Amino acid sequence: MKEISKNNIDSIDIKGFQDDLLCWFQAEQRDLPWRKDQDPYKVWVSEIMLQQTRVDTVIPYFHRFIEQFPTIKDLSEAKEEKVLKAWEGLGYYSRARNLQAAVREVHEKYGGKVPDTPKEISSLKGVGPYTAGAILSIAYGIPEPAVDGNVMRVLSRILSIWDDIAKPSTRKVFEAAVRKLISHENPSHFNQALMELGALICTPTSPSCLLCPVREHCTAFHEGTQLELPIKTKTKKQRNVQLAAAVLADNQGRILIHKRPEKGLLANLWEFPMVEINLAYVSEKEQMKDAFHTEYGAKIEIDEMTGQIEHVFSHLTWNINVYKGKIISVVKEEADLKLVTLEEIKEFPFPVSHQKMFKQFLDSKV
Amino acid sequence: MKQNVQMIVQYEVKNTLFSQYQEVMSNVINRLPYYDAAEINISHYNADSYKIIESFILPTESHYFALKKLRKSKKHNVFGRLDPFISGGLAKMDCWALKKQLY
Repeated sequence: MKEISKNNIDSIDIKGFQDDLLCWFQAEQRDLPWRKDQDPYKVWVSEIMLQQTRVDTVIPYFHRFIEQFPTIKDLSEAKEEKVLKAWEGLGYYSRARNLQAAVREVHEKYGGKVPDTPKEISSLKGVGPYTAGAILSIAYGIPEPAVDGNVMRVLSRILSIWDDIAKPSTRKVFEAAVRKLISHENPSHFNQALMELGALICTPTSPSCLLCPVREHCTAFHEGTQLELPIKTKTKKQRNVQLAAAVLADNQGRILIHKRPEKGLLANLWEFPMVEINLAYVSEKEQMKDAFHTEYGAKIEIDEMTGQIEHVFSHLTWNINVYKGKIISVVKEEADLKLVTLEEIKEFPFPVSHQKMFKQFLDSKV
Repeated sequence: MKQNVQMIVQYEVKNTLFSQYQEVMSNVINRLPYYDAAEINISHYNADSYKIIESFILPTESHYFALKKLRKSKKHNVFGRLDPFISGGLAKMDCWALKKQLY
């Protein structure tokens, strides 16, 4: 067993490591839309979108988002629903709400200029140590660490760091390492190069060590421990939730939609009426009828099932049985409950699971 | 154009430690594909011999030089474990690269 926290920062040739890493990045970096300039706002948007999300997924969202909200002023003045619509399908919607709240603060408090000090930038909503470091280094050339999971994986191998990267306190170990290693001539490329190396070469399960530009500096490569590192304990098992949802139409073909609460999972997004299944009930259909009557005052009829949907979040899994049905008695519309036409529904932001439900509903009508 | 290289590794196993060698060797064989090795063959000279010939294909010459260094390193977590089972240790492990076949 390896000694915890032992690392090889003092024995590494820092200049040689920087040169090899930067040289590789300058030759091999991917052509990504947010790398076209160093506009702090665009760097910020891209870094928020890239949290927990793959580059390929982010690219079209980034283009559309910047086209719709090209400046801090545009985003700060936009309606939240429009921002959520632009984020629809990307997941982790609190990112979008926090981004807009923070952009509004920058607009009002800093005259529309993204702050360039660690203290100010870290105080913005949704800007954690990684995002702060990324913006400061990439947009402003300030040698601050930007340590995410990729960077921890790369450095755990290079420096043979055996601390558990699932523990929040371990980030400090890596931040201290980056502070020693970072190039002061080009902190932007240095941080991006570490991330790029993690994405392209030093991947989680099968790192391409023989293609790695810094393998001669890598302790794990020399010791053959690259497959054992990083140490990452498993997170808690995901909870399974059984749900039933219904796409309900009235006699004019309008669909009933409901806005989720402003706090919690998928906050402020719209959904089709949905209920957690209680096994004490004889049937899901009966339970839905009761629940929708109590919650929305609606009398409904549930028809056949149109499909089943599984949606995995980071901490739980939704298993949803999806039905279609009819609204018998009129529903009183409120701010969070609407009857909308098939055309109007396109303006409302829905989570991916409910977009799938709607597609199943449309397919079932054909 | 990319030209494959055939890597040959030769050494003699201490006859009293052959079964332990085989255990470690199964880990070595599992690890080699991570370095882009393919068509891995491990052979004896003959049934009574403890002289081993390994052969596998690598994509480039630089793969060969990098892997040669790792295979002969006692510090390597997997490859280094062969050291006590080889007559003369890893220092006596011979490596060659064959770049072209005659026929």
